[in-house]
Amino acid sequence: MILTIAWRNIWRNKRRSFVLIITIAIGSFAILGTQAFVNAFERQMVNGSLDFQTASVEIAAPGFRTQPSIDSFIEQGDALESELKAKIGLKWSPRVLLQGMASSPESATAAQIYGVVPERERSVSLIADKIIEGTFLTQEGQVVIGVDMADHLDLRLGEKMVLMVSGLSKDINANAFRIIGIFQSGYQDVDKMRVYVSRHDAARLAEYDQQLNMVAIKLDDPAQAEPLANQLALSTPGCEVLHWRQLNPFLVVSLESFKYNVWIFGGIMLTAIAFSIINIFLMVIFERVREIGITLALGAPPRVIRAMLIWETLFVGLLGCFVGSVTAFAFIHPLTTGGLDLSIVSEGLGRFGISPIIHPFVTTSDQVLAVLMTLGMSVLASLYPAIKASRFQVVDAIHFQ
Amino acid sequence: MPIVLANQLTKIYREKDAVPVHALDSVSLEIEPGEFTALVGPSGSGKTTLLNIIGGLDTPTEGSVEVDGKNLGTLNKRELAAFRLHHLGFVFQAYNLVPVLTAEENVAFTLLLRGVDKQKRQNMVRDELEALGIEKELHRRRPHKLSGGQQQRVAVARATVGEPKLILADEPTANLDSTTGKRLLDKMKSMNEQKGITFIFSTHDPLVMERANRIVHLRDGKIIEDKRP
Ligand SMILES: Nc1ncnc2c1ncn2[C@@H]1O[C@H](COP(=O)(O)OP(=O)(O)OP(=O)(O)O)[C@@H](O)[C@H]1O
Ligand SMILES: [Mg+2]
Repeated sequence: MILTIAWRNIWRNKRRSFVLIITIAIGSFAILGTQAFVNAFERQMVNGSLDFQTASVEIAAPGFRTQPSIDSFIEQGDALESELKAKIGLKWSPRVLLQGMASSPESATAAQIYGVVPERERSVSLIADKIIEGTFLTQEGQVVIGVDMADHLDLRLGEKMVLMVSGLSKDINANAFRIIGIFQSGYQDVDKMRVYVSRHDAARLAEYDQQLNMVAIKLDDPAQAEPLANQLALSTPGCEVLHWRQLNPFLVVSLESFKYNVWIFGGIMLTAIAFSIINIFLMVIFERVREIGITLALGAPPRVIRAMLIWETLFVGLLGCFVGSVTAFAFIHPLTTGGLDLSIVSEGLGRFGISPIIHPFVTTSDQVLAVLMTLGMSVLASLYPAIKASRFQVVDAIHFQ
Repeated sequence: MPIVLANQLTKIYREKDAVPVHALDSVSLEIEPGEFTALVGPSGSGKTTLLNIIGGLDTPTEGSVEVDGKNLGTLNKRELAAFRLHHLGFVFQAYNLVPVLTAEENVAFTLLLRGVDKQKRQNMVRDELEALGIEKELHRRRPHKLSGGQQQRVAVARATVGEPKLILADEPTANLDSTTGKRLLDKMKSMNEQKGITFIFSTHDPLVMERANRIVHLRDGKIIEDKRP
């Protein structure tokens, strides 16, 4: 009967309850909406980074990541390759990775030389899809460079450029390559520094035989990177296996700060909700002084009064969350599938590796968390008026006009 | 053994910048089981104050009160609430009922708080409402769809349904016309006679005095007359 009273009390002042429900709905809508966009940005950032910057998991000689020297290579490259081949469905690409110089008749610049097997590299990176002129590598003697490097060296498609590397023997080896493609990934470091040649060409520059500097692995689900890295670390002793969170600490920091901002925003929303609840329920108990007094006079324990008001808030909170979630779903769902074009502001976003079309989405756990936090906050906010009401002086309350 | 034993009750209201009000001034009173008592007297004479103290709603400044052998001064707030719930019934002047509950739910409410199971509750509620002359079609109405007299009869049903020994009624007929008031009082009188429930009224209403078998006259917080007509 306490639930009945609580539920019916909501509808006594419909306008006021409506205002409260809408307030809570707007709050939970805002929380879910922000979460959806943040999810989208996060996913874009992670996916973008994993498509162009680092791989999901990278296997390299110990220390290669911090000190990429020519002497730092994987000894048993063949053994590693056959082991990875055995893992059906795993997308991986062997790389010879060299630090060198790229030069044109005009100018010279530092270059990260990716010696790759083109079809394997296509399975782990989307660079090949970002060719704006020409094609990706088709044979030896070709080079694919980024748009910023092309600008810097004043090179055009079809022209020749020279790559220089200090090889295993410490001799400087140089070779001329024809530019077969120019890519634009949107990542400035990538577009400026990275060049792709065939694995054989790179090995020749480095004076390598079958040596590899890195195996890059691409996973469809970034969350699986860490477990896989741990597993591979065990099966590839003598190699350093790192996952993207370790490879890209800057990205991880950005993700954390995003999360932090959502929490702050959510906190502000919840506080606003809490204050409306306190406000409205103080009004409510003031209006019901007499009936609360009579209920207490009859001998109802104070907790009954508290329970009525807390349940009333809970019901209002549930209604608000329901309305908010349904509205949020109605807004977000079409965007999740259709995407939202933010190209007006994409200039700025591109710098963070965010493509102009984003797909906001919320997960079930986001949804559950938003509802739980809203309800939790509602109950918390109702405690003050509820306790206040349960402590009414009976005599004063029953004679209250 | 008297059902109410009030001993030297004094209630003083002290408010800032005002002369203290002696709402009750050393009132001693014994009420025997089965009595139908009217507390009468001019406005401000202390009737409500006395009733509230007997009902455990208020505490005296001095003196003590025993109800059904229990010294109320020894009970804490929670025990007092439980005592009221299990031993007393209350009827106030108006707006007695929980507005969002139907007539039968209002009557059932205290039974529920006492832990009476559902089946039993329904029967008791139906019987009580019928005993008080509330027609079946009114049982599911909320208070605002009942007349003042009907509301008061539901309030009486709520007070009597648990068959408490004592019912305290503060001007229950003040807002009713005399026909309706009579009807209500007759029902209360028959509850008094049939079930032996003791009633104490605070009232200005001659209709109550006509039916009372004891009239206690208060003035300025003192009993000036106590008679059994
Ligand atoms: N909460 C209070 N604070 C201060 N004074 C009070 C309070 N309650 C009652 N009084 C005073 O105590 C005295 C007795 O009041 P009480 O309500 O008991 O009178 P009453 O006989 O019931 O009057 P009425 O017939 O008008 O209901 C009055 O002078 C009243 O003003
Ligand atoms: Mg009075």
